[in-house]
Amino acid sequence: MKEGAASRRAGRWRRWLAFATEREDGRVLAIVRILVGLVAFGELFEMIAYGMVDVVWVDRASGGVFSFGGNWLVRALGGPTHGVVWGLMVFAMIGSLALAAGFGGRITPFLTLQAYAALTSLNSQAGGGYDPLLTNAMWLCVIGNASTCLSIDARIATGSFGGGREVLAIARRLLVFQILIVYGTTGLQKMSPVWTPAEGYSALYWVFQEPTWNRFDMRWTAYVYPLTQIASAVTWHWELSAFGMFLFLWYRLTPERGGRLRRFANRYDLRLPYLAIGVMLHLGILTALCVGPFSYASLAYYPAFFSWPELSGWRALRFRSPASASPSTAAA
Amino acid sequence: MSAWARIRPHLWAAFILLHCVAIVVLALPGEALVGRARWASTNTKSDFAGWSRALGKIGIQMDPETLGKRARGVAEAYVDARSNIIAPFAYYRELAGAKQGWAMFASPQRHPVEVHVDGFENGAWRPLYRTRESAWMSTQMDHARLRKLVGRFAREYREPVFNDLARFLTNRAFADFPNVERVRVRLYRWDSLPADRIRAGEKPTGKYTENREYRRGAPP
Repeated sequence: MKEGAASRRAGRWRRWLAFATEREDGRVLAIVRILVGLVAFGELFEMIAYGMVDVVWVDRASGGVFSFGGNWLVRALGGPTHGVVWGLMVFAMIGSLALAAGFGGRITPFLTLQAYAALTSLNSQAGGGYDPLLTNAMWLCVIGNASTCLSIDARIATGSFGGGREVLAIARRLLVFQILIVYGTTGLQKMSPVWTPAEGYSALYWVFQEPTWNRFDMRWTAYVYPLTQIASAVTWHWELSAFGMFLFLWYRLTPERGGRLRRFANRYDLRLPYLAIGVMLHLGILTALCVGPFSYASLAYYPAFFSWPELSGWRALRFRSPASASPSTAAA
Repeated sequence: MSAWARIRPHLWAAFILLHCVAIVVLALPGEALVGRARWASTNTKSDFAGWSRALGKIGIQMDPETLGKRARGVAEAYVDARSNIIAPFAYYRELAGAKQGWAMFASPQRHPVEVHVDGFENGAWRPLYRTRESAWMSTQMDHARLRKLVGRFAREYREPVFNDLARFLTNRAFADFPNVERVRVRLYRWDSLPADRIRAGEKPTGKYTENREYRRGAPP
């Protein structure tokens, strides 16, 4: 019995080892890297363009508005003074551009994320979930060595911008894991009755009335209230369905194991409707609400749902696979 | 094959496993769940009133206060447990920026606030800043990060933060409006109206809950 259990454990570990060390074409990871670098740069550039750096991040004792502590890096540099904050700004902006351009290997995303995290740690009252979403993605660029292709590094190493191309597939998979955890836990945290049938799925109607978020006066949504109820219901259930996506992706990875649900998951590509709803929600948010780079940061993760063969042949993506086709395990 | 070459993939796989566990653990909602001000906020009370009504419909009678008290007990026990679970991942969170506690619109604010700034000149007060109505300071006040900061006054009012913001706006007002003798910065709070009342033509009205006033010559 003990030997059998040990053998099963060893088998599981071997499968995990194979999963964590599998290699694939790195161009999807490179696309995510480029998008994350551009979104981070855009957010920092906007902070300067709107005159927000001194207001939000520089300490009052140094000419700013609020009083701060900052994370370990800010403390190590001498505190959130004008010079330290602007030094971190310049460093993070150059780093973001280098990340997008794919210069500096793993060091660039690592140092850029430290500078970005240091800045956004300064004012806990003036930030959002989009900040860690960007730093998380940068960390995954470190893990996956995302500048292997479509990068200046590739040009230097191989003479071709396309580069060597192969990277560890786990970085792309962790991006998917990350964004699904974000959506799923966000859904779980919506514990107010207004997100549920108990209060008529009225949540988004209330969000639209809130000056913190709305881009313009949205009292007119009272006249299309049922639409806001439908949007609330779709949003909440879609977020919670992220946990179902884990199961779906697992089934796509293990088609040989059989079972009705697994066959269904391998016949119908649920990623497509899932991501289509996600894109629509984010476009709606971009249009109606002011929530910083939230939608851009989230959408930067979306290419990771597909392997490079799928993404490059996107015209061939179908919700329903032909019965004879065997799904690619690279899809998950 | 060297020992290092043999062991390296295993270390890598173990690290990836650790990362996955860290991401899940660090995404668990945290201390904000038990903030005293949040539990005392009108919005949270509205939530419990809603859940109390919903429970009543299925035959479970519990007043919102009792429900809130019980839920808070559960939340405090959960946050205690969470603190123990996340402690080993604290360094990893700092190093990797790998945290995600996102409560996006978890409890939409039905009792929002705005910051209003007025200047006193020629014997009368006049508005200097109103959300979406004024050009002055709108670039910064309309930025997502300051919106978030102001929005948090509705959920968890923090007096030192409001005082800092009031001082900043006052100094800017004195600099930009040379004829203004006094400046006041106030927090305006109102109840958002349900759809049927807006359709009936009603407009939300509120009241000022905080007021900071400064004179030129004795600025903050």
